[in-house]
Amino acid sequence: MKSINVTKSLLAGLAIFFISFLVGGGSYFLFGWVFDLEPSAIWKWTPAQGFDMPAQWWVILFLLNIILAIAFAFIYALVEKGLPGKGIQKGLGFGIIVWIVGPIPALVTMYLMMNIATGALIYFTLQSLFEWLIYGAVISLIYKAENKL
Amino acid sequence: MNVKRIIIAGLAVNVISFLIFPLFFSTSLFGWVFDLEPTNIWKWTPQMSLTSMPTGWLIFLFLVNTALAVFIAFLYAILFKAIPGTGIKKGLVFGLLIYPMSVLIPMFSWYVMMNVAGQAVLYFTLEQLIEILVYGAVIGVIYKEKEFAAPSINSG
Repeated sequence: MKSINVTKSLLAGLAIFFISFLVGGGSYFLFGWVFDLEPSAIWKWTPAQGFDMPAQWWVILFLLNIILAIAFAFIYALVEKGLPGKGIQKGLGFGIIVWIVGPIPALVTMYLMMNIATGALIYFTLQSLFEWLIYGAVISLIYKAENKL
Repeated sequence: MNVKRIIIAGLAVNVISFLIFPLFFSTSLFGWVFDLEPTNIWKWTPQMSLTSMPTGWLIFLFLVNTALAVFIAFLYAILFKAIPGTGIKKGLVFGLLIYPMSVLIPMFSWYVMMNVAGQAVLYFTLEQLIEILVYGAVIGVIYKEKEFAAPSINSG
């Protein structure tokens, strides 16, 4: 098993943590109408609420987001050798893989089991692909396996 | 890459996912999760039999489940050399590696953005850890690279 560049993994994780707020948050505000599709009662948070959420919600959002972002950068570092392509291609491939094993099964489950608007699911499918391609690209640009600590 | 074993492992995962489905989604064991408020978000609950759902719903469930199961096995094959361990251990590590992607992120999103009971989210988070470890173990046992394939499997 190859050694992992811990510093670069942390940096990559922090980068996608910040970018997730810009890309994820930004896209929700741009396409806020998706949350108005019925049944809209399913949403705890909608872009219309903006920052008007309890402090505990924000703490959980920040903590889990940063933990997961760093976890993803470490997973990338672990599997980087096995990913096809070079440089940013590896990152984009990683993004697509995460998209297929992450958001896609979750969205399929939501379609099958939940009363949620199909339009919202289509939006989240495309939005999550866009997000994960960006995250993958960013991780691959920051993380370089040859620079070991 | 051993395509034959990818398909066999994927199909095995698909079958096992349906076999263990009643363990996690039956009224006698964990059906109460779906009674936690708010309950109006559920389109399907364990109180409803699968066959009571529309045909299109069942076809979609079966096709997408199969496609995703085969993709997971394919992903294992892609990452095979990068995953530490051998055999079942390699499969379990693979399960742990994909757990954050396939479970933690969606459950995090559900908890943050949707009106789903916190206990239900916790249940799905734990239940899917067991599921994904089982799938990883199954793939780890079945999938072998070509040079390690059993002699009886000629095309493998």
